[in-house]
Amino acid sequence: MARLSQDVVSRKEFIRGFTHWFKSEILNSSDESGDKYQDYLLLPGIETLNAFLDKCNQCYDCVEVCPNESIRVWHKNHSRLDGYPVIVPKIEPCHFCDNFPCIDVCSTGAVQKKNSHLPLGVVSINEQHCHAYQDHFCLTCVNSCPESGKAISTDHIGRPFIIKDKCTGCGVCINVCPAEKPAIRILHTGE
Amino acid sequence: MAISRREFIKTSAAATAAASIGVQLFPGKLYGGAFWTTWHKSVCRYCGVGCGVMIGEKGGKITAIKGDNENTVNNGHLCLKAFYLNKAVHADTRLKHPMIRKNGKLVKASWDEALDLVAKKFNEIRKAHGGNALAFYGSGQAETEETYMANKLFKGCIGTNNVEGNPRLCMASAVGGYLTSLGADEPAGTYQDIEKAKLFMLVGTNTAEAHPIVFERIMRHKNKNPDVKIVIIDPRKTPTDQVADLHLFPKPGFDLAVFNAIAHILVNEGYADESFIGKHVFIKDNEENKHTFEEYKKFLEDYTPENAEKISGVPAQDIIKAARMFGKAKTAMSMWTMGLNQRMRGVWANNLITNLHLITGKIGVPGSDAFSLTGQPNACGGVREGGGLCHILPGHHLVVKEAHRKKVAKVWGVPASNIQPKPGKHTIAMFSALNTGDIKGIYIMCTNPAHSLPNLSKYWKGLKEQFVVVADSFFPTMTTDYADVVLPAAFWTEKEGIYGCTERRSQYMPKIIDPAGEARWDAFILRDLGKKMGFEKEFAKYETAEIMWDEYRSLTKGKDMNLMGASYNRLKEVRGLVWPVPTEDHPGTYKRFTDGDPIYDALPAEKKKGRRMYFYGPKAKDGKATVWMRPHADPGEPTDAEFPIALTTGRILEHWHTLTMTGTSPELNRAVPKAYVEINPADAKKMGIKNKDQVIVETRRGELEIEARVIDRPAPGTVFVPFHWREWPINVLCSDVFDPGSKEPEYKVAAARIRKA
Ligand code: SF4
Repeated sequence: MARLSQDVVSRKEFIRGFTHWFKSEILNSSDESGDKYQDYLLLPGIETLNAFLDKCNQCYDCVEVCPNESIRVWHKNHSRLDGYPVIVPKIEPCHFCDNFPCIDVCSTGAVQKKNSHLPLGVVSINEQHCHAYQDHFCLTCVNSCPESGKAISTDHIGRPFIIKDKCTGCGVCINVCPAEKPAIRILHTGE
Repeated sequence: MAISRREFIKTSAAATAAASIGVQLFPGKLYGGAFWTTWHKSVCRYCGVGCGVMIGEKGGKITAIKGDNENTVNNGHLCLKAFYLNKAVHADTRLKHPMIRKNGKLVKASWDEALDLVAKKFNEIRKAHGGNALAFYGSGQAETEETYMANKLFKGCIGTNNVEGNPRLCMASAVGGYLTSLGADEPAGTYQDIEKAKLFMLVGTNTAEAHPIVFERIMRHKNKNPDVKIVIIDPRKTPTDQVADLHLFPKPGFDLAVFNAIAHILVNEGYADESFIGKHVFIKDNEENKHTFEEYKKFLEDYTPENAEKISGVPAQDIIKAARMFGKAKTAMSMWTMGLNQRMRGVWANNLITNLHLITGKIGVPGSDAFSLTGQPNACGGVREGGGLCHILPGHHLVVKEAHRKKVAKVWGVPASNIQPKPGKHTIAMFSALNTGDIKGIYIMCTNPAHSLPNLSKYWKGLKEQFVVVADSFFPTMTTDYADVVLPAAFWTEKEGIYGCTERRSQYMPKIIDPAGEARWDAFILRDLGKKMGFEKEFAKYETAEIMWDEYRSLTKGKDMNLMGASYNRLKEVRGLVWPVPTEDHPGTYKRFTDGDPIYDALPAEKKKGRRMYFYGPKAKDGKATVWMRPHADPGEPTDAEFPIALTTGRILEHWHTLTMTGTSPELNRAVPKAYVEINPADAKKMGIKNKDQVIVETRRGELEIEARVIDRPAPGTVFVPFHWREWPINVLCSDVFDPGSKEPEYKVAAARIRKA
């Protein structure tokens, strides 16, 4: 299990992840459900989730203006994000436009340029699903990452790991991952 | 000409749509009463690495692919595309019945109707214009048995040597390189050398993406042994660089000077093994005149690292560093692939790399070899060994040699006069002859030349005008667009046969399920076509794959590629055999030309006296290999003021060739859904191009609109485009100048320019 130290570094997180995996195995359900992971990333320019939820008036100007159609409205009962704009990387990740039109267009201050360096979410690799951890040579996420080598790299035998404090959370890796079941997941932002 | 992208999208929309939903039908459905998965030992369908796979079958469907733990090639590992091969087997894009073009449209036909038509047309053409108005174009993915049938039909019965295949576009320069340098085709060593090598020189190869499992073995070996060093020579930084200790970036096509400069350092700094050279090597110039070592040294004087820097752009210091690393390493393995082969001086490039091994004696010992990586799974086995090119016959025989023609004709049961004494038309000449009408009918098997030839659009004319038969497992392809008759071919797992990979290893693949729809095995299609053309007697005996293999095998008896010990019975049990394997109890040969090689061992003692290798191949004299004094040569189309950027093309990890197979996996399509042009950030900045901009790449042959990927991979002044997608057929832009020796076209260098769309 030494390899985990290279992945999501916090030990507490590791233990939580493990119990979750254990639970999902027993329930025989996809481990993407449950309360540990989520399917969306936050918009660029968000300081804290609470501040965003507070300020965003759901005008969806950002949804409209995103040139890549990365921003979508999230609909899920009992989710605090229900009705809010988010990014669902499985459909389209964030491409971090130079000028952030989504931030420009926001009139409420829910998203702000001064926060645009903050990650959109924290992603981790599911070693049960990742090809490279099953002895299938695969480099897709590493090749596609816009910050390849900095935010994601491979260990000595070619398995990817994420360098948490360099990852922007853009979600490109989630979008391209060719594993049969999603092998990169987004840690819950804490609703 | 300007290629309209819309045109491509239109014609391929149906295929793409079908491909993107090409998932397994009814997963988990019980079929035919089978409740469990049975596993069958086989070989990966994709690249020339030749990984062993276990194929899971359940209820008449291929349901899973996994690595074969017992296969020494890959030890249970696979690359990701192999994992999804089952989706290709059952894809919606599988061709399930014959088709004939009527009023411009391909319509369903019966087998009899289709084969009768082909036989009639071919016979008409042959009668009116002679056998040389017909041609066969095959594949390094066809089984040896399939190529064998094609060879017999065209060379032995129809009487034309117009038999070619896509390995001409891929490996021909390596063949030329080995024949001229070592006297015999294919490497002296095997993959076993990887774990014994102290230095790897990877030249013109993005091993991580094009030969993933070989790369993985190198990576694991280096990880265990940190003293192992890796030098890369390539105009592009690639994922292979994750293991690099040193990377030399020559301008595309300007690396020959670098190889000579490395030799210059080796001989001037005392790394040459003069005793090895004296006993094992001739030194020759381009005119085949013999020279002394001193003369060779003199020849190299022109190639100081500084001069090489001027020519190639590689800093002299890096060349010196690379040479010293090579010289100091106890053992060294160089590997190369298309970056050296697809070149106007591909054979020379191959020679110059092999030179480095011959002058330092780093060959014929564990961990040292000049090792060419093959692109396709059976380019070595079926085409190089099987004689699937216009100048060769099965089992390393040559059409120009009367004795060889007689020997092969006898086995084929045809008059020796049927086999023409002159080589037929090589690939580029063949497709040019379709354009001019000198060839009027062509049979294309298991390959997609209307997508993969260089200077592509030039050759569409001939395909449009002449009678074209295409046998393929998938439909549509760019080539079936031009077909007059389309024949559905059984795919991998639906037929048995042999694949021979990069390391001289022949491996058996079983038939596991029945062919899709009405598809038939290519070898039987050719056999039946032969019968319909009037060669009833000649093709009567080929009832099984094993009969074909055994007949082919008999032609290898006593040859350097002796396969007499590789019977079906044996190959069904073992994980392949590495030739020469002369008898059923012979284990196969790890190293050629030295101790342990049965052919070497059988040589009279006086021949071996005082030496450790004897190069006994058909082109070698006195058991000696050749160090070639090849001068530097520029590429066919160097960059200039008008076209200032070098365009190079290649493969990516997730996809393979023209997407007929990898395009059936939604996972792989998602991973890399479209083509792009890699542009160095410095170049992009100069041209005002941003990541994801649409740009137009243009060469003298055409232009293509494509998305920019601004990335620090190609060196400044170089751009790269993968060739897989029909919607972005970059090969239209590639140059079709070819190596005068190997006749392999120079895909790897074209002068281009780029502008924003
Ligand atoms: S490396 Fe080549 S042979 Fe091995 S699994 Fe991948 S494609 Fe197949």
